[in-house]
Amino acid sequence: MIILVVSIYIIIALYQVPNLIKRECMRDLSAFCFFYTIALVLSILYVLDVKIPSPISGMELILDKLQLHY
Amino acid sequence: MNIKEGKINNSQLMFLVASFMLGTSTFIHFMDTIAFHDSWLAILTAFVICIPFVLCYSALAKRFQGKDLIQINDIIYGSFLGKIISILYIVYFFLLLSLNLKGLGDFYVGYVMPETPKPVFIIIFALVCAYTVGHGLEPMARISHLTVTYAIFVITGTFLLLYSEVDFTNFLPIFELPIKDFIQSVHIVAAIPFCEVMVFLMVMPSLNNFGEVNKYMLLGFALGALCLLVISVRDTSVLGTSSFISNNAAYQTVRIIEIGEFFTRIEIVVAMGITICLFIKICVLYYITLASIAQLLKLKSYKTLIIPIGGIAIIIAFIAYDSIVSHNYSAKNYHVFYTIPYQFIIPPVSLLIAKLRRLPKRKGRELI
Repeated sequence: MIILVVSIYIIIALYQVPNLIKRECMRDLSAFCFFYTIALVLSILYVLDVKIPSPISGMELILDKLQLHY
Repeated sequence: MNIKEGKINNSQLMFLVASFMLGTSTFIHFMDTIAFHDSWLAILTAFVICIPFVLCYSALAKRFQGKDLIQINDIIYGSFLGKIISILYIVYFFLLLSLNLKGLGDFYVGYVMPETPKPVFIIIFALVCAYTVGHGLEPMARISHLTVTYAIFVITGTFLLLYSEVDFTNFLPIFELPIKDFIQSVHIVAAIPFCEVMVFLMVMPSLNNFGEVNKYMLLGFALGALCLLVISVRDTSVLGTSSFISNNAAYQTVRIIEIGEFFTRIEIVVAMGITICLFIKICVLYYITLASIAQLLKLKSYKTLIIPIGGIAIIIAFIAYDSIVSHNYSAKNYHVFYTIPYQFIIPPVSLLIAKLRRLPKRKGRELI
């Protein structure tokens, strides 16, 4: 499964990155790499069954502290 | 610099707004567990309360013609505070995108194909949305006519077919709801389907004519609200107070239709309607998330980020909640408070500051 996920990501990168380098959009390329790395890491962690903390629970914790809930 | 391509006209905006609101119709049935048979009253009250806010959003778009939310924040709050507010908005758009993807998966696994794993639906749907978003805003706006027409056709058709089951005594007694529950249900309707149209502040800059934006925005909002009201009235009048038992009352109601012995099981028609309206909603949210990130980072095109953002959104949709029960609990108790600043505080404050500071100032033909 992990090989499948990584290979899908590699194929996408091989398709996208040369395009961006050819068009000389360095800003776009760095933004792409940043979000792409996050997506890749999250996908691998999910496939490996690692418990990723949900951002929603963080939001609930803050609202709980502020007593802002029904 | 303009990262957006394509222009839409006013009537397309109207149908896009209505379709966007109809996409939420599946996700507000947990409100029935609070408002019971008075949910139609909550929808009407929320509609009246939300009108000034919707007008405020369109007034903001009209004042800063051709500028999107991120640019408006920069102009009004300065580049530092504006950027912080913009990042908060991007997180909000992104969470909406993930939660809607998750909602779609829950609906399919719960009602249409219970034995298929949820990730299958979420990934396939996200891929279709990614393909659509890659073609820009125009195609979405053009098909929104069709989706709204289909939804209205299904809603009126099922109402007529269910005519023999309708019992208006199910609405009695009215006004017996405790005031706290009533406020909570009005808040849910205002925050989840109605004032979510705030995201159109990122779409409205693509309009080709700002003259009548207020009117069309309000018309679209009223059309969406009317459809939600009819759905709620239909469900309550057919199912009675038992509508709150089901997580998706609209689907449960249509299951009852049986004419002769052959005209049954037409709930898949409703499932199709829910799917296409959700498709428009998720595409709009996807587009908005990408456009706002691209605008904030000053990228040349938002299309570069389609795959990475989609990938993150899919994973967040998987991990957001453990179960649909915790999703509903969180939505009715926490999510409504989380959305307050984005929908009810920042846009009116922005409009007020813009009026007081007489923004935007003109420099030649450019707004700054």
